[in-house]
Amino acid sequence: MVAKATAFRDADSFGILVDRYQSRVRGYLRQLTREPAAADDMAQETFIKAWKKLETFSAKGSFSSWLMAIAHNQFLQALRKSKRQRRLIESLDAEAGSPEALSGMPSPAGSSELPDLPKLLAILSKPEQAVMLLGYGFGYSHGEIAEITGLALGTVKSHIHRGKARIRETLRLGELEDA
Amino acid sequence: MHDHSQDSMDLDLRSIFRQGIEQPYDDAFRMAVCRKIKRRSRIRRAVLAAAIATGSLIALWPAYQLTPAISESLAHLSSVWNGVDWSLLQPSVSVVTIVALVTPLLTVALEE
Repeated sequence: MVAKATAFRDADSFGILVDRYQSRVRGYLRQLTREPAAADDMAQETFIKAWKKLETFSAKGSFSSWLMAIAHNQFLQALRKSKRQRRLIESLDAEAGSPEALSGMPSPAGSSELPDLPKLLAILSKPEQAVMLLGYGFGYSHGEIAEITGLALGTVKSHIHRGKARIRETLRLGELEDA
Repeated sequence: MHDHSQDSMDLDLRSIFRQGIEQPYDDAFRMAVCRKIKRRSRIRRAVLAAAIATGSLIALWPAYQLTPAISESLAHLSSVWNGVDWSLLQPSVSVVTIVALVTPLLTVALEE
């Protein structure tokens, strides 16, 4: 389908690709932005950019990773453009690991009641969110995450390690507060 | 996330992330994307056609001015090559020939 859309510049074939990947792209951007309407606009731009750059896709790689890389860049561009969003991100980053973010966090492993995703994401920085969403949420390998985000493989691993440590610490403190 | 040994935290995290991620899907999204793509393609084609037409018009005048000189040269050539009476060549034919030669090159350049 990718080959057909590329070779013939066939909008209908590309429509099938949009159908196949829209949940993934929109889901990822919605989690990162927490604004469904803005995320969907970004997702549309992602697909339009993908259509324009279709010839640059190498069949050796995965179309899904290639598309998610465009989505990720779209998100980063939107962040840079919007000062308001930048301030929001800074405040979210400052919140990460803060006592406020820890409150109401139920205990994790082994417990039947797991913390929900928004609470987990709230304690992570944006790069950690992106990397962990791609890895745990969408099942990409570390190598694929590096490809999507443009980060070095070592940086990806360290974001995951730090994210997990932050979550572990947060949950441990949550347990202490509950006790 | 298959790059390292999975501990129970990885399994928990996978479960939380997979359950928590929305999977939005609707036909309206695909239709909106396809509509925008088709509109952009139409605009691109229209701009390209307009650019070719404008370029051809701009090229036409100097080409037309060149025709007497070209006709003279061809007439001179006809004295060498008696097979054809080149002096009968109309200026408009020369213009059309030049535009026909230039247009494909212009089209390729614009597309690139």
